[in-house]
Amino acid sequence: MTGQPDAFICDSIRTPRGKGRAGGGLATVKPVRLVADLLAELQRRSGLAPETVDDIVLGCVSPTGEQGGPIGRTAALLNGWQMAGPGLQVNRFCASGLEAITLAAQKIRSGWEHLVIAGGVESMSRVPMFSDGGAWQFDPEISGACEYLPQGISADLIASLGGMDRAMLDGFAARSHRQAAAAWDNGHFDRSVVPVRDDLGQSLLARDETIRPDTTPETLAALPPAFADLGADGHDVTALRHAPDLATLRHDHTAGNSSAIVDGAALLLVASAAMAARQGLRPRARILASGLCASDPVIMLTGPVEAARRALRTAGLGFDDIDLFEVNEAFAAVPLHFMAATDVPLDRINIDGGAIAMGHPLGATGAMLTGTLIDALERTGGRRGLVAMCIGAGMGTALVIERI
Amino acid sequence: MQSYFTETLNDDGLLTVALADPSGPVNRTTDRFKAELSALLDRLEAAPVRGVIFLSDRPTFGVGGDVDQIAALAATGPAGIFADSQRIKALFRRIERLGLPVVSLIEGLAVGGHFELALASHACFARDDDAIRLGFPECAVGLIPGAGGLVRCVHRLGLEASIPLIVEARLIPPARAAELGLITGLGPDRAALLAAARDWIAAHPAPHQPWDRKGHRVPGGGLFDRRDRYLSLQAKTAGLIATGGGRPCAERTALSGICEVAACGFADGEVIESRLFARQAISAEAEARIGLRLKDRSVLKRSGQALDQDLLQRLRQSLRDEAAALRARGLSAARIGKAARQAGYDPEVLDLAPDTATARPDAATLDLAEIGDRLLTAQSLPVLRDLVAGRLHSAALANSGPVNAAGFPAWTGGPLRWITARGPAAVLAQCRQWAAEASPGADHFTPPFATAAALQAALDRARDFDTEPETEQRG
Repeated sequence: MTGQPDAFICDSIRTPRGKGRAGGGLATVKPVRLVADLLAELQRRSGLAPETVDDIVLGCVSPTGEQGGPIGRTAALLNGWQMAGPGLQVNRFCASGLEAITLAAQKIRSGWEHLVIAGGVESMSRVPMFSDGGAWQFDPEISGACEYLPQGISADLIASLGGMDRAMLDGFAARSHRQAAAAWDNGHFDRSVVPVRDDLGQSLLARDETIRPDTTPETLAALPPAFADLGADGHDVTALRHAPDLATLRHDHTAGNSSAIVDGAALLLVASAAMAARQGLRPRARILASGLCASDPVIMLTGPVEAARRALRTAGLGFDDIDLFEVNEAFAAVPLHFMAATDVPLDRINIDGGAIAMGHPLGATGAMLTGTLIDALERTGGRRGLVAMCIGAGMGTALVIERI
Repeated sequence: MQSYFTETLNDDGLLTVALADPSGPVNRTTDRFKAELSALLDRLEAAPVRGVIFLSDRPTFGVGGDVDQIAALAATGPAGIFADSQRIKALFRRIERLGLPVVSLIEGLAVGGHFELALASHACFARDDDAIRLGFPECAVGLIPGAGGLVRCVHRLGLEASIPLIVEARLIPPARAAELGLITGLGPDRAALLAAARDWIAAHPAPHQPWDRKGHRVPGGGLFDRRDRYLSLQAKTAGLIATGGGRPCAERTALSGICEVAACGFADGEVIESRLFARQAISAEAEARIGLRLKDRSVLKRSGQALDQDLLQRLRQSLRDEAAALRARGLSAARIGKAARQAGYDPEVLDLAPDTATARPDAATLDLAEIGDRLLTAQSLPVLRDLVAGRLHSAALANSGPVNAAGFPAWTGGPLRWITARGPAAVLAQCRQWAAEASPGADHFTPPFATAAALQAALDRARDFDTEPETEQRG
């Protein structure tokens, strides 16, 4: 491994996450403005020279309407970066924000680029999920041929196959809220979260809006199943055909043990050692490896395990070499399945809560998880961390980082 | 002091509220209006009546915000004006959610906040008279509707239909408003309007606005819901940018607000409208346009003053002198003309000879913004000189005279407002630099002031010229 420059994460910031619906804390802010304000803050904190930015790579899962186009370039222009900051929009469904970081690392490790801003944005209140359509989910011919299933059905299938009952799912969800609330109370997010203001300078949102610290498995138990109706439409039959020995599909996922729909954005500064030194940036973490896989599209959401294995293989490491994990809480069954399959214990997973409590702003989440992981490694003194995310259509991706 | 609202509870359980602003002959949405509306709503929420009818016995229904109150609040910064905009919106929302019918009767001019009151009423009937005007004149004075009018217009009519009414500030007669669906109906006279209101109230004992019904959507949806819509609006935006010299302006703010509001929920739309209203209310643009369109005009109507011919001549000459000086430095007529247009001038007034093939391409160039500043400064200095020499005694005249008679760009609000907005110290320093660079004999940038403090003092004195004798009449 000679001659390939290392890729370093030098800084990481994010917005708080606002409820992704009318009246949500960020619903009156254009997504491009969320990105532009974070860009300005990144510039302010790091002192980076805009003309040295080789690319702005942003995940965005509904890149249409006001979120359309390479939104990073629009944000750069909005900030007056006329002659600096190209932009690239990335869509890897729910892992787009993580894919942006992987791409940034690959650009830098190729030696062709030296400083890349990577992250993501999603205003789910203003550009609702599925605004960009998609043949896989919505074209009658194609979705039929691909045996498309809604993710919630797949999550219920994973829970049913894995013997996770409602109490387990709700227990994990309550823990997400507990850990997230404690993380906020203990200042774990203070460094990375940048409050969002309107253009008059008035504060709009300073804290993740969907955390309910008083959540318990008992309060969650009262919620109705979220995907039973979808299943009854016919999806249950498809799901059960793929699990011939499963007698019934339990619909135990609810709005309470699935990720919250939110708005938000996050940016990371990724640079080569030489560029970091030139600009006086302090590397906080080295990107060691990434892993990407396609897995069973009906089960759909167990890809994080294989993706993590591949990333670790590339890094020459095992699960025991990783101090902390961030496994996206798209549904409670996903991290529970990851733990069961890898023997990683709960106290090393999502220690500051996750998307069940704080929300999953699709294109931004991967970048948020990576930032949270760096903050946590620095705080706990851990050395290595791994982010893993499930993705629509059976994909999975993972990223391994090492604290400097 | 008399009250704004005169309430009459009729035998049939209808409360008639007659609007008569005690602070002047024309109804405005003053602080007193808001206070009395709030008190009325308190009473109605505690003790509902069968229905409420707003009307006015004055020739006009009302003209909305008091620009002096808006300016005073704006001077304290954006937070106060944002909060005030949210406050009147909250009052209008309480009207909509009273659970009993509220109807407005319009029998004269109803614009701005008073038209917004009518839109917040569950029904509105107007006298069918083509001399009456309804609508949103705010953009013409550098503001946007701030009492929920933009949001309600968009939620009633949709995005496209709102543009001429709000962005172009096009006032319409009642018949057109009824045709659009902005008001409920028409009647020939008070008796007919009252009868229509009574019938409507009887038929709608507990009305809801469309946006308070489940499943409501802005007709036609948001900007990005239709491809032909955002493609065609691109041209609209380009046109506003071109005519406005690229400067931010109320028309662009309003267009952007309409597009954004059309795509989000009602309450979010209200926040967006208040934010944009505050942005405009604190802008130099609003001060300039309100100053020229409303304040200067009323002062000059009273005083009858006009610029003397000598100053008028020098104002025109100063522009031509600077244009000639720029040509002499080797700048192309194309560049100077574009700069003039961008600054808001008609390039014709510069008397520029067309470029020839011999234009020096290596001449030291100036960017368009600096050339524009030079033209504006060159034309402001004759006004300052007359001010110092005691030949000008009216700030209204000093500002609007050059705009009306000598092509000084209206967006500035006139030479004195432009210098005030730029900052006297900056303007003076710039004059000195340009005067020092000028070729011998060219002294049109020599300022008539030695210090910025002296210039500021002159501007302050000028501001008092028109206000002192006026205090009595403002009352």
